[in-house]
Amino acid sequence: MMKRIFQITVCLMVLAAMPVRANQTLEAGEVMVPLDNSLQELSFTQAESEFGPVLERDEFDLAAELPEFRNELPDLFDQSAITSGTRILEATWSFSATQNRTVWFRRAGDAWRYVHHKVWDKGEEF
Amino acid sequence: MATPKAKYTIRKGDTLGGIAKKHGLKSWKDIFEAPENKKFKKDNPDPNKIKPGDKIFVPPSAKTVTSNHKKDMPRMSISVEANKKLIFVQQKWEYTFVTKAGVSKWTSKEKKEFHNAADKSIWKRWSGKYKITCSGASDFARVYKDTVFDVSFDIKFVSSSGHWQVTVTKVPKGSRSPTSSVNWNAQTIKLDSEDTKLKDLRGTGKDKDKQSPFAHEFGHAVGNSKHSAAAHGDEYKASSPFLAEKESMMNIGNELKKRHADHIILELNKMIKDTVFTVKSVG
Repeated sequence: MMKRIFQITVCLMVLAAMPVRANQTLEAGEVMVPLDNSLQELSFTQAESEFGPVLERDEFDLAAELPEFRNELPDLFDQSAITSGTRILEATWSFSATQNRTVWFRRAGDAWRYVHHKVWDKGEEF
Repeated sequence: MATPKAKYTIRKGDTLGGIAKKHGLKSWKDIFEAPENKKFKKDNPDPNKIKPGDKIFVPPSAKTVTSNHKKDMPRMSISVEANKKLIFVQQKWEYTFVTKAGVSKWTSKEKKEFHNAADKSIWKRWSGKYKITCSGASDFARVYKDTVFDVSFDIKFVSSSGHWQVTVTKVPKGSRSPTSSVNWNAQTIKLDSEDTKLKDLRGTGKDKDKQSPFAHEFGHAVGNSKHSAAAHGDEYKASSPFLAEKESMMNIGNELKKRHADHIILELNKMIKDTVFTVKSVG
């Protein structure tokens, strides 16, 4: 009996970690989105299609120091990209009933390509 | 609580100046020019010739109205100390100190120093900036209509019953500061040991433009939140109507704006009946 419970528990843990496609409703207000590693190749267009409607969208120029919400971004670019003020697209989606996920993109050709992301509690202000 | 409107029957030997002084008023004119004494003034056009037996209205004075008012709320307390021309906003911060892997534990001295740094930074950037006046039909407003109130802001280190649960992470010195935040609904604040440093978000290199993370996050905690009644929070996002005001403390600068006291004003205006507080200026 204990072994069975253990097997079920492990099964549930594995399932919880598996990527689930967008728009699969889990419970009221909660939509699962792909795992973080699948974000690496993501374009904004794909993200929109995967994650659904954007809660908030913004664009700004990269700088050496940014507001705390964006302060990890300068570390991901070289000095020339910072100096030239690379344009960044910031888009936020609902991640779960209690969290949002913000993804940052940079322009690459005709597309906005993934740079970084942050998952944060709904209601937080930075 | 205001005292009932005072009627006074003039006695032999009384003067308006004497009556005024006895009731804490500055001048006989306070009585003579009071709208309630319009008829008395008409019947007695010479203020030096008043008749015993006449009834006059004695306006409220600092001596007769309650000058101190205090309101405790879930996220802060506000005191109005009219005799000191002061409005005092205080938050109790209940800390949890955590340490990032590989960093030494917080010492008691470091915890105290962190709080003092936050308190000092908030005091310097928020206190003494707002000049507030009041108006309205209340006795309080009538007495203090010419008073300009200063506003002081304070955070108090408490071990229980805090307005805010404040989690502070100790990170390696000089490392990129983790994201600090305020959650208005949950009454939580996240800070870190690198928040003691000013940020040159505007890139001007000038000290006067640099933003204190403490002061910015405190701004959220005093009501600059999308979730408070003031309904405005961070201003550096495209969704903010104040995006262009880069110098603003809730944007990427260091300046307080009148609107940053919106929540305080909303609460003040619920404290004393028929009394409306207004930000006259912010410096």
